[in-house]
Amino acid sequence: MTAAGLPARSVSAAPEREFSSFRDPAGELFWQAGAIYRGVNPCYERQFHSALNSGLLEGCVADGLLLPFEIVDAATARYVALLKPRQLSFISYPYEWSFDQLKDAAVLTLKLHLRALPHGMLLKDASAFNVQLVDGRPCLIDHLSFDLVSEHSAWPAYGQFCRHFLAPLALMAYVDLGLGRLLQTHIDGVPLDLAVRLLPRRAWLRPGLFLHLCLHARMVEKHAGSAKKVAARPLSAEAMTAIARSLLALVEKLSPRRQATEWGSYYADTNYSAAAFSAKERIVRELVQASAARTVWDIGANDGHFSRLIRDLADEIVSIDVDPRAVNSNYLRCRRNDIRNIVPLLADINSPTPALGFANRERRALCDRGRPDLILALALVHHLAISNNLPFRYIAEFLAGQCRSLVIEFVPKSDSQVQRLLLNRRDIFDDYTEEHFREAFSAAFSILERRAIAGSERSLYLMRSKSI
Amino acid sequence: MRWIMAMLVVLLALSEPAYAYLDPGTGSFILQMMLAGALAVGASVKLFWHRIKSVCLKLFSGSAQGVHDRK
Repeated sequence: MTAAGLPARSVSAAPEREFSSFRDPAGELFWQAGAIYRGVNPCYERQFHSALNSGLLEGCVADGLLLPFEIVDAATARYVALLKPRQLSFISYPYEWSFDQLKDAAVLTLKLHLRALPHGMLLKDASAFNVQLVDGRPCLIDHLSFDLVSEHSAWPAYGQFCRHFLAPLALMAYVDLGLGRLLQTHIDGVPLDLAVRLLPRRAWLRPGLFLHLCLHARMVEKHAGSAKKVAARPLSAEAMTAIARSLLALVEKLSPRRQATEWGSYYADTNYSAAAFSAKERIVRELVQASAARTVWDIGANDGHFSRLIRDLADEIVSIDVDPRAVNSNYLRCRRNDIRNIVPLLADINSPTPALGFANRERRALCDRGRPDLILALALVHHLAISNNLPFRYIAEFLAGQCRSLVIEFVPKSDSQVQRLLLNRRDIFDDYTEEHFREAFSAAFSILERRAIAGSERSLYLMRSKSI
Repeated sequence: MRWIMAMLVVLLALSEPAYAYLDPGTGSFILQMMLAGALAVGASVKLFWHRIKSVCLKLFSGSAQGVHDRK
């Protein structure tokens, strides 16, 4: 049920169980010597061998639908098989995905279920947390998600699929692109009755939404307190296929209405001249190269223009922005151009994704999911310092604790973008000067280089954290 | 899809399902039973409709061909 490649915490030789791996009795995840493993419990032996021997697992891996894995031990004293999945360096969560990221994850989930049915198996859970973006594409990371059809009367994951995927996608398509964040407050998916109350009436003109959400919510509500016990008639594999196909057709047709967001057209609305913009691009590449970083977080990435610009210089770039439309645009461009080392991520640097779930330990906080070699913070500092009143010292200390190197752009108060922020508010930012910026950042970083951007008043800095 | 919805509304109105079990998935389970039935009937109706359509098309194109020949 959980991410198979969280940043390594335990480098000890003794195994340490991954906290979030407690829901599924079929197996468990644990860390050992810095790598993550999945042990298959005896109660899942028949199902595991069926998925393995039928070629289902192998076929799904070959087609990029399932995270590659190796069987490191066919049987141990505790497990019937011990798997080592491909190790992932960064884990993202569904509430940090844009519309098309969640939609592609939904399509993947249904395709896996449809693929399993001819093998006499089905996908027993449809948790969005079982999907990760791997090499730019969604991929199932839970190797124990398949179960025998004969053990079930209907698709057991139908309700979960509707809560984890269909309801948030419909809300994003019909109401607001930012409503994917409801998955943050409802960790087992958006309750169907809530989705039904929030969706506009025109959504019910789409028959699939009416059936799988509206009618579904009513049925759940109607039978929630039911105390009747009657024999169930199992659904055939053909019937399950028909239901999954109807969901697939519905999801594939969902698309958001054009929604204007704050940053959606940022690069079409910038004050850079073409020459200054290309000078900035050149300097950014040079500074990133000088940092020798292999992992980068581009914070305030907008549509990921600079992430893509430096994609050949790093192994992995997490491209973070607060605007759902900009993140979606980033994802679609990466998908279209088959860019595999960028993870577009929806998050707010002013309030990074918190730790969630039981004991706040099931889903990690964004800042606990890795320390990149480099953070790229372009055209961001004025938004943190002026829009959110953050002192430079806070920003510097936060960034210095998060990365080894920093490439940061300073935008002076005379810049038209800063003036725009100050247009309708009192200027209480006497300390917002490059001198104070340097002073505050010098306490947390060693300043290695300052480069002025020709044709603008802005400058770019390369710094090295004093604490990492 | 629209007629499946209409059929389900009728099904819901006419029947009180007598299915089992006592977990929060009961509603989802029963809905799947109804959807499966509706989709199966729908597939048959669709097939039947395609047959009617193809027969009509054959008749129509045959008569159109006849008109064309007369010109």
